Amino acid sequence: MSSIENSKFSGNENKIFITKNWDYPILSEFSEFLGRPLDYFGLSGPNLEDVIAWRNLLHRIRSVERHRQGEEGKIDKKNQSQAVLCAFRNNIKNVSIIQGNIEEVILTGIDCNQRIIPGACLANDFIYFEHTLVNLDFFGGIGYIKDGGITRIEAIKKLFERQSSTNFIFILNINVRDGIPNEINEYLQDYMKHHEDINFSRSAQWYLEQNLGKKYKLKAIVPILIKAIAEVFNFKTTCFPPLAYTGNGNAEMVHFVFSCEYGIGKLHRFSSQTPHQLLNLPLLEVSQGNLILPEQHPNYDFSGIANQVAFLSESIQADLRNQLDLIYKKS
Amino acid sequence: MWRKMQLDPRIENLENASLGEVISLPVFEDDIGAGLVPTLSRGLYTNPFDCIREYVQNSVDSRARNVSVKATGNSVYIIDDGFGMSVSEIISARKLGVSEKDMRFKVGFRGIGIYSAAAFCKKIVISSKKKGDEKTYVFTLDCEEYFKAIPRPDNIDKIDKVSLSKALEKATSFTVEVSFLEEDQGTMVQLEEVSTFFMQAFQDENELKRYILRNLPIDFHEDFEYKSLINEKIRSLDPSYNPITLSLELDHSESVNIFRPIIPNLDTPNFKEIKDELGNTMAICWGCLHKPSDGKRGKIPKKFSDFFGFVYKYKGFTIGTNNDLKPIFTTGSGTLFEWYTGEVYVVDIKIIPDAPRSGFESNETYKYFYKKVEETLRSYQSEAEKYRGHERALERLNEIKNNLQSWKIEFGQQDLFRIAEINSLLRNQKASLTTIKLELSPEMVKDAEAVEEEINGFSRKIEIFRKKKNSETRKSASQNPEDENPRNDDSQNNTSSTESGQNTQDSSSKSTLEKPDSVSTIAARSKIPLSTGAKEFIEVVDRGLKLYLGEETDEYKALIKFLSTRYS
Repeated sequence: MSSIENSKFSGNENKIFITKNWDYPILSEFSEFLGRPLDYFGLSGPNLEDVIAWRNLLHRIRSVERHRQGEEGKIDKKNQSQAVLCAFRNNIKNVSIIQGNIEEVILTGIDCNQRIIPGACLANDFIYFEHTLVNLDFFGGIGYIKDGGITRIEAIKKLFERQSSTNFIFILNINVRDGIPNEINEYLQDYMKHHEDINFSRSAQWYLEQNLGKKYKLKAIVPILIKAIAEVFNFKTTCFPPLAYTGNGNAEMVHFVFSCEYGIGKLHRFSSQTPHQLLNLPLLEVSQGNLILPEQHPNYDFSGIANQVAFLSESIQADLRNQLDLIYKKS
Repeated sequence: MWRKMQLDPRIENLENASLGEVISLPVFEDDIGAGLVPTLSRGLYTNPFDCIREYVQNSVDSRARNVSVKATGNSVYIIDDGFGMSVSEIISARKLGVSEKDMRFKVGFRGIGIYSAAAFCKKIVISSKKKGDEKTYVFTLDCEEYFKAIPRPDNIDKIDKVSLSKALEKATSFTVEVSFLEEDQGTMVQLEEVSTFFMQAFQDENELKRYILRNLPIDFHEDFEYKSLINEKIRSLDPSYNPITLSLELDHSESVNIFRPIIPNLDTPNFKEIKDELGNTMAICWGCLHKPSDGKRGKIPKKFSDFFGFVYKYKGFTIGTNNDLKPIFTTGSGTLFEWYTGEVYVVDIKIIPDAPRSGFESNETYKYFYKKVEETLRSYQSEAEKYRGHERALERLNEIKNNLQSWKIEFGQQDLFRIAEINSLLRNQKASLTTIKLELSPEMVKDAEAVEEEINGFSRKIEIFRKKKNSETRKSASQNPEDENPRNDDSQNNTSSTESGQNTQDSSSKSTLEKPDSVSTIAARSKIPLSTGAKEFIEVVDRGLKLYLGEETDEYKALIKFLSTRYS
């Protein structure tokens, strides 16, 4: 009913493409695998664009909306009521608004009203989540620092701990703006030291040193980081090729999708994708509503792309093949 | 305050008035204090859910078809797809105790409903948009700000008393927002930062659902077979009748669309109109009698207890509870009330619901109306009584039919003792049928008459059989007059003939007149004039003695000897 002045949260054609053509088939397959519609948790935004696009695949929607004080609080309340109204207008049921800061909600398991959030349960004095789809938009970048700590990384770690026992799809949109804290750069460097594979080190070094944009660095680091975090909490992850795109307000974003499978056992779990394979995932780009294949790291094996994007529609795959043909012709 | 009072011109006016002079004094703004809103909202809306009813009333008045009640985070939302409010309407909505609604078509008419949640939340935000309008109008009541203006016992001296209009002016605001979707229409009421008490009440899904079903104009379920019939009938008398579909969404439970439940085995609704002395309709009543086909007649199943009997409805909203009308059903402590589900739907606007919707304002029209309600509901009661009588009679008729079948089977076994019993029972059943026929419907009376005819036929068959048996007994007695010790043989023959239905001439060649070997033969020989019934009874006694004592026992023989001596 009312407009949302803060237009950076509105959708754009790139995001719409990703939601409908990239995420949808992944979620559809996962929902089929689970045998039930998915329970969404995350930052849907006041216009519920993602939720509307995926409505056929969703059962419950837990949308986290900030709940600040003062003038900012007025915008937050407006966003909350807009989300509720949007759900009503689109006849989307089971939408809950979780009031609070997303990182704090994940870290504590409770909302700003001190209540355990919907879709969570208390067992052995620990709050577990049962969401099957987690969608986080880190508009401020993954390295956002609050109160002296990297709360987003902490929140992601806690998310995996709370999701114990529940398989889920983890969608992560990260703004490259805030860059990567040194700690994360060092993490990749340490990884290189511990992996004597010369090809891995060579590729990793290229990502750390390249001048093509921070999105490449994010593409290299985030899948390896998420894999490492997930494995500690007994999850095996499969990372889909990262997508770079320009979001609203010209924000440079990278879109990651992980399929996270929980395994019972006390020992460390190992994902099927090795760090080297993760590094060898292509960075794809969505521009003006089209999927394009930008420059990849040296010695990148283009022959693997077909399998990595087999979930996409035939027309999009054909489009990618044409682009590959051009690359081969040039080379 | 003291100075203000001194400056009040009305004091001087009154002081200077001559004796007996009637003076009209003006009412100043300060005369109506800000405390009126909490007094009204707390006093009228004792149940926290009452405010939901008040906002849904506005939705119904704006012809909404779908309403959503949602509690999430610390907010409660009531959203509808009604016509929405124009700029002038949203400004009018702030008015307190002033309603521009036409009572003929609208349910809310007191102009206080939008303040009903003031005591439960920090802010009430009402956003409304009309179809085709590019703008959304938003009215905000900052309840926290408003309540600051009201003195409490602990700070009565610290706060300047504020007039109602000043407090409202300070605590309310209007904004205009741009809408992207021109085609959208509707109103959203958002209760922000709802108190913990209220929010906890909202977590009780069952109680909230029950309240909604009991009080709001919730439509029938699509599958309820009389939905259209009832809705159309009501709408023909009250065009403003607008039952809604309400979806209830709470954080920790599944979202549900609320409909009136389908009560199984309801009979076609019986409509009755209540009219005033001029013949104008005051109310339309409908009642569905519970008529289960499995023979378990009686009240509506307990799980539908909220829908037992009749309840007042006004523009689809419930007035009072169904217990209010139960005392009219006097038969059997009102048992038959629970055999019905129905409504007394008031259409006469002179019958005015009170503000808490717990009853009607008392006036002459209402008194007349109530009498008519009593008459009408009593007629429903007598129809239920008639139905109950019919069902009972039907049960009895079926019982008789079943008995008749089993007796016919027993008759084939030719047990004289049992046949005598059956004959007597048949006479009783025939007498019962006379009463049963009075309770039955004409088509079922035919059925009862057929049963009666069957009984008559069966009785005749028994009579023929008994006559035949008597004649056989007499014949066998006359053919065996010399038998010295006839008792054992005779008794055996009697048994044999009874069981086989054949005449055993050799063994029955004993004279019952000369050889008193049984009570029957003693009685026959005694020449005492006995009726057929008495003779049958003696036969029964005779057989009983033989069975109980045994024919060969000294006890039996002594008894026979005694009787023989006594009656020879």
